[in-house]
Amino acid sequence: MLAVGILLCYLLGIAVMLLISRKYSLAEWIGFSFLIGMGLETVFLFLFDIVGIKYSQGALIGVNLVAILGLLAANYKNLLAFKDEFKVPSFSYKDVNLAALAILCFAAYLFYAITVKNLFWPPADHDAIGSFDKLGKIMALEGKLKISLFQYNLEGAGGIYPPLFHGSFAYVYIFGAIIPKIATSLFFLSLLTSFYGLLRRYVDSTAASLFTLLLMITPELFSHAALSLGNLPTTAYVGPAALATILWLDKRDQKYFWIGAILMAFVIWVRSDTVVFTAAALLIVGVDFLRNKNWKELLSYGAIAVSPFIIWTLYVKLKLSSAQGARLNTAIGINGERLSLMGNYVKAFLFGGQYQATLPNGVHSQGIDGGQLFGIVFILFVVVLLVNLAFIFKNGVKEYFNKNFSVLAFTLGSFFLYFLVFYLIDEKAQNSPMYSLMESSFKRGLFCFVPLALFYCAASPASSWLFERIEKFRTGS
Amino acid sequence: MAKQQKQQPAAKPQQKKPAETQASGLGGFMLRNLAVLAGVLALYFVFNSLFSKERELSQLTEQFYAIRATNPQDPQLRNLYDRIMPLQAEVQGDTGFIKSITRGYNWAINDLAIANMKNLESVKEEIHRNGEDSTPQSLLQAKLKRKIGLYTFIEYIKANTPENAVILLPEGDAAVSNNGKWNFIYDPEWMEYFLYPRLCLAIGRENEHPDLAKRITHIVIIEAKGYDKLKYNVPLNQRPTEAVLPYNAPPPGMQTDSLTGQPQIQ
Repeated sequence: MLAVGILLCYLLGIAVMLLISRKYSLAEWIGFSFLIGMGLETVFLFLFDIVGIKYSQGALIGVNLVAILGLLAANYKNLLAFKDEFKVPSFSYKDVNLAALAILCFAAYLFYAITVKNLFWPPADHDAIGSFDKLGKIMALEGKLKISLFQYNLEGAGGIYPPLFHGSFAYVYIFGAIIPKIATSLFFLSLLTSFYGLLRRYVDSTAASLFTLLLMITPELFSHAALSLGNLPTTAYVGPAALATILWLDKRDQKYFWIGAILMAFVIWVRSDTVVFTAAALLIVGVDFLRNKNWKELLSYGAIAVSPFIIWTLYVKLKLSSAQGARLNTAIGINGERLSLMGNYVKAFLFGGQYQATLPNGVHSQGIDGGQLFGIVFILFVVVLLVNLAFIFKNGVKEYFNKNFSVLAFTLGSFFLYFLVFYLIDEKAQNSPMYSLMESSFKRGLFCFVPLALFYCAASPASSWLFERIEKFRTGS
Repeated sequence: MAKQQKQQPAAKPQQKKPAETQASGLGGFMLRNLAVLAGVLALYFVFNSLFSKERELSQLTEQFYAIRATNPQDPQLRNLYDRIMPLQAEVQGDTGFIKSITRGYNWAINDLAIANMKNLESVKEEIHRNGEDSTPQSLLQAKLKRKIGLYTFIEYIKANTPENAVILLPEGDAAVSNNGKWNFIYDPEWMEYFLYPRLCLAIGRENEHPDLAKRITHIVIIEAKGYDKLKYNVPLNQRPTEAVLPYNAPPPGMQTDSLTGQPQIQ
């Protein structure tokens, strides 16, 4: 039955995608359909809880069939055109790209290896056992979102998180999974295929496959492909949501507007602190509004992207009755000591350095090694950013920023907000010292910036210049 | 006419070009493709050669532990140890910038992905040899035992408490929380995962679960600690270091003192 559950999830995503457009690449079909499908499955679980329907395979199959058939029926005319447009794919030897093929085969092998590991071991990470997997498992057993453990404060830290991640675990448990980690593997696959598909709109397959491989083997991210923590699924939504939005702003292909808005809504349906990415998305869409004065787009995007935050906040307050204490101390002012500590960690994360905090008792913290965690990703981003300055001289400032504003504004804007949120955290309320937060939560949250940084590196003028030459040589054009 | 004459030379090569490309293009195209592929492979080769010592160290260490597991007195161990130690120092001492920003990729590819596949095969074989994979549930338990050191004790707790039990867990003092043997036994949210539908709270954190503090039915004893919380006294000579005991009354068959702690008169 697990296969049926997963198939329904993909079909639901495909039905939504078809409603938006018929023209996607294979990678986009694979990536977006799962992200949208699983996001909607957790919306169903949420609605069942509100209405009081107990979770079961039958109820989920029923609602999925109604939703899929409803979406297809609403899209009937479009589907007829889709049928007429269908062509048997033609093949010419010029479609062969041996380098891209070799890179993708290697990536597929590594994906297989990490998936075998992921699916073999049951969840063992502290946060999965203490919260996410527990929530998913018991949701499936009790048939509701607000499980009995809430009344004894035993739900764990993830209890007040929006339900997409643990809801995805509940979904696979309902369909008979022994361990829920198939969801992690599918989120990882979706992240990689979406990234490849979106990047292909800018660069050739050699560059797209190379940067997708780099995304995949970013060491800390890759290790999470065999864990059951929420950071990788969060990245799977943040990356494609941001890139689709950027693509829409750049190329004005309306399907990416809807895909970007829907995925951005799910960004905040995974966890609430990702609101920094929603804010960054609204910033770039807002700047676009200043140019184009299109109210409809701004309001539609904003409403779709922000509504889950409001819905979940109301649910937490009214149904879970969870009194979330203020975790941020906005009256902190300028705290030089904290800024210096955070700055040292950020420097190590971004430039491949090592850093250990010295604790008040003179002992050193566990420390971090930025190179070991994120490899060349952020260093490459900075190098490419600097190299691209040359293109400002070549093409002019206006031309450069017209092409790169969205991706840079989103990446740098969300990073600034992300840093600010951590800076404002009240250590006492959070029950964790800042060095510990930097070495755990901040580190894992940086995953979300990896696809953005690599996308910029791949699609920026400097890389385009290089890869265009390689491609010209390869094709002999 | 002049115009026509000028156009002719330009038109001829345009007509021939597709035919020429078709005839000589495939070979050239493939050669150029192979050249780009060779570039990619060369990059990988350079990357891989950077970590030859790390791979050697990893192989020797694996060999060392394999021999030690079968025969701790094997004379080969000394030889391996003498090779491992200088190599380890060399690897750790190599802190060059390129190495430091690419080391993670070597770990991800060679250790996390490729080496793990081999390790999984040996774990699968071991589980199969022990007959632990007869049902999906027994297979899951076999894996949990290998991943979570405390799992056998958790199974014991489950077997000795009813499903409606409210269990008081040990305090997470330094001795317990720093001892990997106990995992997170002192964390009610973590233990709840395994003990559900039983409910948990921990000594010292009763105020976090006030409803449960009034309904305790069992206590988990580890390192002979927790007896002072029981509503009856267990003679010192009858105190197991690890157990789960009823909170209010002794289990059938246990000889107990009164609550005053006076020695029991036989």
